[in-house]
Amino acid sequence: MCAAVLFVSACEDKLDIPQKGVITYEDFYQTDDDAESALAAAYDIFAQNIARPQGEYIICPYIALFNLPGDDVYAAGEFYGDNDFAGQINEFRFDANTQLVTSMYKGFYQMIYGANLVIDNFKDGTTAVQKRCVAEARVMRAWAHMMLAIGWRCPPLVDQVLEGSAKPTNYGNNDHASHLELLKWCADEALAVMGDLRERASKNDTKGTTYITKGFAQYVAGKALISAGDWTGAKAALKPLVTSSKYELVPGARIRETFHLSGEGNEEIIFAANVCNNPAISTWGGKMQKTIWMHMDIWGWRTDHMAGKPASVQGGWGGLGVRQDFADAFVANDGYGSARRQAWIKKFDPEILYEMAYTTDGDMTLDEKKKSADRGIKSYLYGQSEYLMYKRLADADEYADNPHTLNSLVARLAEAYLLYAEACARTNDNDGLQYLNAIQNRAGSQTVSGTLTLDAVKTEKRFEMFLEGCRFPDLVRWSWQDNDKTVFNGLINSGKNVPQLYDQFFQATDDKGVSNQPRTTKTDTHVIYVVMQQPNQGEVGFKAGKHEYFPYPGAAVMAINPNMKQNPGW
Amino acid sequence: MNLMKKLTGILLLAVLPVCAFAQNVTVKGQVKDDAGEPLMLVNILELGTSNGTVTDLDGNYTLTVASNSTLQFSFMGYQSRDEAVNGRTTINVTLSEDAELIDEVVVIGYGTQRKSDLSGAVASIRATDLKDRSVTNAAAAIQGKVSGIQVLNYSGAPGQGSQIRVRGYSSNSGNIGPLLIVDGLQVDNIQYLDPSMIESMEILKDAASAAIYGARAGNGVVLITTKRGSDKGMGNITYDFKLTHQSLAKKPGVMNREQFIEFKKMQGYDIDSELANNGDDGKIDTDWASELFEPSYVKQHSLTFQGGNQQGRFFMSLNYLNNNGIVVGDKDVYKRISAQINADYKIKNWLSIGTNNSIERWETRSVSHMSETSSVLMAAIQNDPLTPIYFKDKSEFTQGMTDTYNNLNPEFADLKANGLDGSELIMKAEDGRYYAVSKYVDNDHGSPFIQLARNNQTQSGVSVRGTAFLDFNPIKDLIFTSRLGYRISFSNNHNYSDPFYANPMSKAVEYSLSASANTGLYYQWENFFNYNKTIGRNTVSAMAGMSFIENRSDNVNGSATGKSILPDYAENFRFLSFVTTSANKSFGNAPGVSTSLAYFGRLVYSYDNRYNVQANFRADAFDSSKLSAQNRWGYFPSFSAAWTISNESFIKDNISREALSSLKLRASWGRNGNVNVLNNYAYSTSISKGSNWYEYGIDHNGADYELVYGSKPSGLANPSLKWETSDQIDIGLDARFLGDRLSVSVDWYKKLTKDLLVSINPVPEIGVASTTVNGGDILNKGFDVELGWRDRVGDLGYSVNTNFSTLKNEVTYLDPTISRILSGGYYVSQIRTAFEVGNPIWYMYGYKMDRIAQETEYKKNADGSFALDGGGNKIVLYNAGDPVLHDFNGDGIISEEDRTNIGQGMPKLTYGLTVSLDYKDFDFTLFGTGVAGNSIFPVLFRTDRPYNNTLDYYRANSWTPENTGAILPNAAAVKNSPQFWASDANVFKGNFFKFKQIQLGYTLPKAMLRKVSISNMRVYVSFDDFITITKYPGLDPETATTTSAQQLGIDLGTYPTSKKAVFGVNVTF
Repeated sequence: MCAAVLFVSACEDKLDIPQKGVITYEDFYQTDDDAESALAAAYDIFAQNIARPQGEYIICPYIALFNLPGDDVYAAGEFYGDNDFAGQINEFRFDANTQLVTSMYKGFYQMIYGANLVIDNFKDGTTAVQKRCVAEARVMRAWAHMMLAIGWRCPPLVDQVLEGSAKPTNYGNNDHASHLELLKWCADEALAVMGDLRERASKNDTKGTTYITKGFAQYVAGKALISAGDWTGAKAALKPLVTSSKYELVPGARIRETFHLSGEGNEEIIFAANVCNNPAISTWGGKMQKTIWMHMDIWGWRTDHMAGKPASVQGGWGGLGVRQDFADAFVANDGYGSARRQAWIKKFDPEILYEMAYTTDGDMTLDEKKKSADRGIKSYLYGQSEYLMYKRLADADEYADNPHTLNSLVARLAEAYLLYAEACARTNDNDGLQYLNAIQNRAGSQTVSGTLTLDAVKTEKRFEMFLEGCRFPDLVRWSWQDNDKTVFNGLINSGKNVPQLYDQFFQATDDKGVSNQPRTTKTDTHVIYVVMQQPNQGEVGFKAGKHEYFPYPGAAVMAINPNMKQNPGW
Repeated sequence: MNLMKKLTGILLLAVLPVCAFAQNVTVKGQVKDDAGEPLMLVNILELGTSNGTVTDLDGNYTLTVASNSTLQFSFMGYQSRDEAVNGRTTINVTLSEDAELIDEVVVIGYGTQRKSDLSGAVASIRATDLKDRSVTNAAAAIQGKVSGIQVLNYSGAPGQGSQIRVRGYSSNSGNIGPLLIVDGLQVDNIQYLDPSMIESMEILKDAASAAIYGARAGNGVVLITTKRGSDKGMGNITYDFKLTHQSLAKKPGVMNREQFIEFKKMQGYDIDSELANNGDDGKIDTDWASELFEPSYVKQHSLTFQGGNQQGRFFMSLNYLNNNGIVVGDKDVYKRISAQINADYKIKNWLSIGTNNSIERWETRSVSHMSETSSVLMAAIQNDPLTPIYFKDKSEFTQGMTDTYNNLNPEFADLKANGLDGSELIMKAEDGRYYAVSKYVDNDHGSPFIQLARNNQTQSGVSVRGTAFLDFNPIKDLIFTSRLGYRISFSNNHNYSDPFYANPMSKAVEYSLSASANTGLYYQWENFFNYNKTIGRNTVSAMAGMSFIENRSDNVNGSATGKSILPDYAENFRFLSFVTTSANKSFGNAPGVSTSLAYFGRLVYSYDNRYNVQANFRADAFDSSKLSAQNRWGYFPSFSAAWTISNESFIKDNISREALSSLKLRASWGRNGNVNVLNNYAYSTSISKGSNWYEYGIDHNGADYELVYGSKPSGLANPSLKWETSDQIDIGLDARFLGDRLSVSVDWYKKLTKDLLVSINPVPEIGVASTTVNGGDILNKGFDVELGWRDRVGDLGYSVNTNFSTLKNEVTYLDPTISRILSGGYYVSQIRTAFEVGNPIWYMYGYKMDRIAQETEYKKNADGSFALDGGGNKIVLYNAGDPVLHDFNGDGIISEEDRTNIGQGMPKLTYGLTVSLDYKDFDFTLFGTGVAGNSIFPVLFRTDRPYNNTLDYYRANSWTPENTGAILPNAAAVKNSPQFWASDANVFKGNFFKFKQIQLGYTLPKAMLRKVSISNMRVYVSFDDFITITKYPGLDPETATTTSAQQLGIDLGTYPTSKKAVFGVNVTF
């Protein structure tokens, strides 16, 4: 009995059993190595959430959400309603519970969480390493908040790791003034840590594009200030970047590589989330999670509807179409022969049909090609105009060889040039002209501006930054910065008048198109033609006062957080 | 009656001092029962002395006593009788059965209590209820025997343990089984316990009774007491033998050739062309189930030695079981050798010691089932009748088989390089014939025989479990017990599989070899006092104690996979020791330990056998893997009271005992917990070291690059996490009437379980996708009713006992951030099970079919006019024979949001019936059990595999222009509709009644047996699980489910219960 009593008193200690294979929160976040490890985790979260926010594996929300509402693209596919997650965004049919909106919103805050873990735990760090880690995390956090502000106007500012029970509220007074304040906070954050950041060693320093540098901080500050309408501040932030010798536009002949494996780390890239090909990492051990391989599938040309495909191209689901009016304006601006036009969009006839190489080419002459049943469009390409997207199209070699390691581009020098040029144009500062001209000349465009005008910058940006998430946010911003609601004209009818591309060699269609007459007889040679469709008689298109900003996720935010106010119109 | 004799083993007589002396006389006589049968082992005591004896096999006794003394004749289960000697030398006595066993003692956890004093709801099962059953585990043996308990026999496979549910389903997790205690030892299963070793089982149903086990008792407690030796007379030896012939009880109602072809035509498939293209000879009509199952035998031997005296007792039993299941071949086997060794000894008047031990060696092989892929059982259901079992030669091969055989299959090119020829990839039977696969469909199984042949998994182990205890009796009325319990277990698994090709869906391109060794060491130490004091009409008893548990496990596993893993693949090479260095290997080991500490106590006060109140309390603490140091303690109180109305004078004086023998009212409230849901430091957040990575630098450009492993918190900490807690109210009534012939027991309970663990998504701004909170409540309510009638008419004794339990289960709360939790899905069917407020847990979530359209129906506008398409044509909504699914959200489209509650896997009613007859030397038992109110959802139709076989029900009941009143739509209209196949049209009633046992026994005349020194011998035949009354067209409705608590009633093809013809002999020497 005595033994029992003695034993009992000792028992409670036996309840303390340490967990295996982990270290405690308290024991971590101490050393320089811990800081580097925490920062690597933050980059990991960043890379995953820019490629596949919330594990979305079909389409990349970061690319889809900021590009598809633009007035330059169609959400396409095998038929209308195919890939409807993209169609909803493109045609402004989305609502607060649309998956892509929710995923992206969550994704940005996960990036912020990763950054805050570094910042909270090392903000008082005294070593250079710890200071640098905090600095990189703060710029990462600023960028995520900037994108959130651009997308959602006044999302909550989360500047520390939150408790599980937290119910944050919209930033400031949840109005336009607060929106600008939040963007300025982003710029201030980026500029505040400049001294602690590394600088890209040289324009050949590929490694320096895979982490956050001074150059990226300047880019974030400049973009945030432009978005907030602070032209002087933006110029000051961007000037060191555009004049830096560490970055350079690639020549026109290499203009497309920046979006492909071969261009990773090139002189134009400021920052891209790195996906490595390191043999130590297994395919699904965190590698695929950072890639947009399925997105590349979706945006690939719908080659199974074609009789053959150019050898260099990786086929796909045909999920992106180029708007005819955009293509026409692009060709008019650049000229058909510009390097940029050829890199960004391809004309089906003749470029895709005859000029690109097919494995079946052999010694075929052009005339033979024109009559060959091994090329052309067998059925139809829904959502495609005469031009197909080429800029971000996966190439067969990079796909077959390594479909999964394409880095997620975040910032490149061309955008910084155009942001700087815009700030100059708005302040009558001719210093910006050289940068506008650099873009135009590099593109091989027939349009090279003699004077710096805002319109010229806007036009140039429309073409240069095609499919880089700029167009729709720019339209929204210009609508209030220039008090010009006509910028939305190109969006009002999104979802109406969708083209379908046919080849009369295979298909004589009696589709009742809008602008074309039915073609009832097949031809002996390939004749590519467009039939416009009215696939959706319901409510589609941009509504001013509502669609400028995305809604806060309904079920994930509004239903469980009474402190949040929904954006106007939603 | 023989069994009643066995009960003498628990009778314990007080040892009284010798204090009288008188003139002695030798008394002889015989003791018989009411039926005139001699009673052996009747205890005869000269009152006031320790002088006594027992009757022999013929009921005779001889005892020398004082001539003026009084003899007490007592025998467990019979009313005692006192006879004054008065100088007589022959005293013959007839003892009457004590029908009500009024002072039956029940085990209640750290003590015992007279059944008449119980104030909680405790179900009790005696050895008699477990007698001569063909079931091989203790849990299965209680099915249908008591109310409030559901026994789930998930499968009929050999060695498949049964699961017990006490009063409903109280958790959204899989942890819904009761706490199991054997002789005071907490065990993780009771499959090792042969029912023949069990003296009694008590199930603490209400929370007040279970509360003494606190945080582990939220799902009820099952207390098992194994047999002990008799302390009277000579010991005995018992040998039991059972030979069971088992066979498939019910063939699945799948289509034969003719039905299959007809159904394909009804579905609109061009079966005739298919048949022609595949060289059908017009004859093949394979009945896969008949080919897959064959009758087999189960052998059970049991040898028991027991004996004892007033100082000590021993019980030793050896059991052997060999069950080779009904699937052809030796791939479904359960073998068990177990021994139970119990002994106790009274060393001093104030000190007793004892030990109970069980040693078990087991071995299992099992076939795959309950799965949509690579399942033997699913293959037997889904393989088409047009495919033979074997291909005679290569000419009959499918194209894929031919290509593989001829080394043309590129998937196996690497294997070819390693020396494996394509011809070796085609599976053959031992007689050299090739296993056939369907030419009509590439299903996921190939052939059940291929799946069977490929199964090389073996599992085996040894377990030793036991307790050693010491009862210290320092002063009168007080006993201190110290009890050490232990469990030691070893088990090993081995598996090997090689590459094969059956079809594109059923193949393996790699070798795989794995093994694991698991050891466990568990001990518990419990120390408690029991104090009992009676003063006049007042009785007080108190108990207080503590318990400490430590459970250690150490598991090592290793595996190798790859295209080349061994230098040779002969059977004697298939061990990890021979794996080549180039194989892809993995291994694992992390020893585990868990501990817990508890203090507990009980106070019982009763007055005049009329009023009884009881309070229990337990404080439990668990180790830091479950809860943080701040939250580790939990407190579990309970209260109960009973009022024996029949002992009140106003009843006693006015109602005859012949009319109302006993009437007792009980009420209780208690709180229990379920700590099993908490594991692995769920409350805390630690750093997942190196779980992330980021690389600086572009590696494939040849620049310098640097891979850095990142670390971050493993999740969002929820330090306030706690276990599930159940509060339960129970009100019960026990009554006996008509001279105890009729007994009635009714309980009503209401059990609310709170704080279920659910995974929620916190607000996204936190940046962590999900976290676990206590966020769900479940309410279980029901009635437990037991009715018994027993009587004797001349030589015929008979009894009828029935019990039934109702269950209403409902989720009453779920964290507002989640509308419902969905279970995992299936390949094609959109059926899910869901956990949602206002519904029973894990109800079936699917579509509802309103009706079958009988004519073409067109879309209409709001004004009633026909809607027209662009071409001016009316838009067809339904064709005749189409299913009309209910559009719950009214958006005009049937989508996933239009799913609703279409059934529940858990029965609303569970019942059992036992009829026993005895006439002279014959005895007869009929026992059955059933359920009602549950549904079965077969996932046996694949819209993506048109040439899979399925239930003929779908053909026979489909709408055709000739059969417009059919209950299923046009087969052609729904052949590709995952929505229809996830609708209530595919929900079947799960009601069944199964005759579990129909047994006739004959006890050989004792006079005859005596000549061969046998004291008792009984032979019997029994037909177990022979008849099942059901409307379910699949296999056994009882096993038509998965084992997962989250997917109850979902039939994925389960090993069915076999029907058994049992021949048995019991011999006692």
